[in-house]
Amino acid sequence: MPKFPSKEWAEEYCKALNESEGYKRSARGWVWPILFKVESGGGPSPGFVLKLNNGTCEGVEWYDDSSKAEAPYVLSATLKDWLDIIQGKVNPVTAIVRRQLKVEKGDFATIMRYPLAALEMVKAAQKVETEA
Amino acid sequence: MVLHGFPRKILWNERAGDAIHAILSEEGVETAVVVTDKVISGLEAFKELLGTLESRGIKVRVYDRVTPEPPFTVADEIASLAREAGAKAIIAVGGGSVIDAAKAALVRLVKPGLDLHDVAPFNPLGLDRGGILLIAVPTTSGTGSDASHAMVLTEEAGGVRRKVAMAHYDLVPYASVLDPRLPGGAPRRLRVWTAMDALTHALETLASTEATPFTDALALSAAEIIFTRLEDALNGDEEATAMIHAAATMAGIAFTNGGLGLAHAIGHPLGAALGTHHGATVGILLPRIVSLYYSDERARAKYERLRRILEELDGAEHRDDLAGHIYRLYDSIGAPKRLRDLGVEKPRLEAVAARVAEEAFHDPDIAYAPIVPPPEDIEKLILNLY
Repeated sequence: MPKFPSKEWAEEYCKALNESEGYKRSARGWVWPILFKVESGGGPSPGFVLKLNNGTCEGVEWYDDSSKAEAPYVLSATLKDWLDIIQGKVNPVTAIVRRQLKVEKGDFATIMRYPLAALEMVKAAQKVETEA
Repeated sequence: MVLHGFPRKILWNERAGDAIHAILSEEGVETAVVVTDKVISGLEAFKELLGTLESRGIKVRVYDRVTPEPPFTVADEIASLAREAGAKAIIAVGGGSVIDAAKAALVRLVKPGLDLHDVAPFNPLGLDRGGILLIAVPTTSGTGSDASHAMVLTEEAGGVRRKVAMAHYDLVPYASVLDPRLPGGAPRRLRVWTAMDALTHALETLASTEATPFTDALALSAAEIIFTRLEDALNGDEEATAMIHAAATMAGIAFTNGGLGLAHAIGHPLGAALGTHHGATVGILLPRIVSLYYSDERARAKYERLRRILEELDGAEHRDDLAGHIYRLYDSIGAPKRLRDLGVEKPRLEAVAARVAEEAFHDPDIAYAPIVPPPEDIEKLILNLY
């Protein structure tokens, strides 16, 4: 069972997204990779890039130091906030409004046009068996 | 972390001039810019407000050129005037457009280097430390903009006009001044439509997936007030008018912190496509959405609680569900119940329904709906509004 965050978890997540009909439908039109960054509060912040394209996940890149990653969209949060979002304790759109989830790079207005895709991403994340 | 944003002060049932003067005096503000539109600036109540401030030594400059759906440029015009006057307060007297224009001006005044497009919730703004007070004086009872963290401006690019919505908790006005004489003087039709907006805010927030005990309390009470006092308010009852004015702000605080849902997610693109009034549009959607939400256990429990309050405590006649009470209210005040009541023609609705359904799925408010039907069901729902 992979832990969050890790390369194995990101790969399982990518598979879960591809198995989600809801994500496929709601993310139509989203064609940009996203870097999911976990703020470390000290040394390098780990993260992974999901290559998202029109409702599918085409691959994963893992970075022990996410500052070396390149992606047009960068979402960052602390580990606790990411876990709250993944576990469904916080709505991802609300997390952005409440500054728990930061859009470090990318067009905010474009992100806000995919609210259902964000919710489907959370549902898919909940299907990944995650080490506590 | 569950964050709630509220105006620092709410002054209710006061003459606006007296209330604003009290706030400015307490904060040591001697110069202010008053933002409004041409209609309001011609009203006696507005002139009285200005007279009160000036007679008590407040230097006032007036900007009265806010138009419906204000452009981005309005922010710099107001900010320039405020800078030139050395104003330490922006006072917005008007409906949602005026208050939104004032919010944008506050950003440009305190953060002149910040592009308004970059106002996003996660970017710290520090507007509350900028030394400028934003005081909102709503003249309608509905938008909740006097208590909300959102602003909507319009821009034109390549011949296409588009509305841009921005949100930040720093945009919640410092004070909301609720003078019921202001909405009480508005035309009846506008009062009905804006009240439909307020009721929709309350009932959508109640069922929202992000509702909290704070938003539940405000939304439930706001809805009860609207159900029980709106008819009296429209018939000229001053106390009821004051209650409705309070309810609109309560619902505004509720939705700012709890989110909305399908009626607004569909209502935004539908109103834009048909050119219908926002409040009337979401209000026509409301009973259908409430009926739909009854299949969600949590939403149904809250709606049933409100239905029982209305029937067992407030003496309303029995209805099978809350949608029945919404229709009863609409009948009693002559509110539109179908889009044809707003003059929409069926072929026009049929032409836009599929696109509106698609757009609804891209509206951020849909993220808070307890139930999201598939696009084809949304399209059917839209067509049934005729």
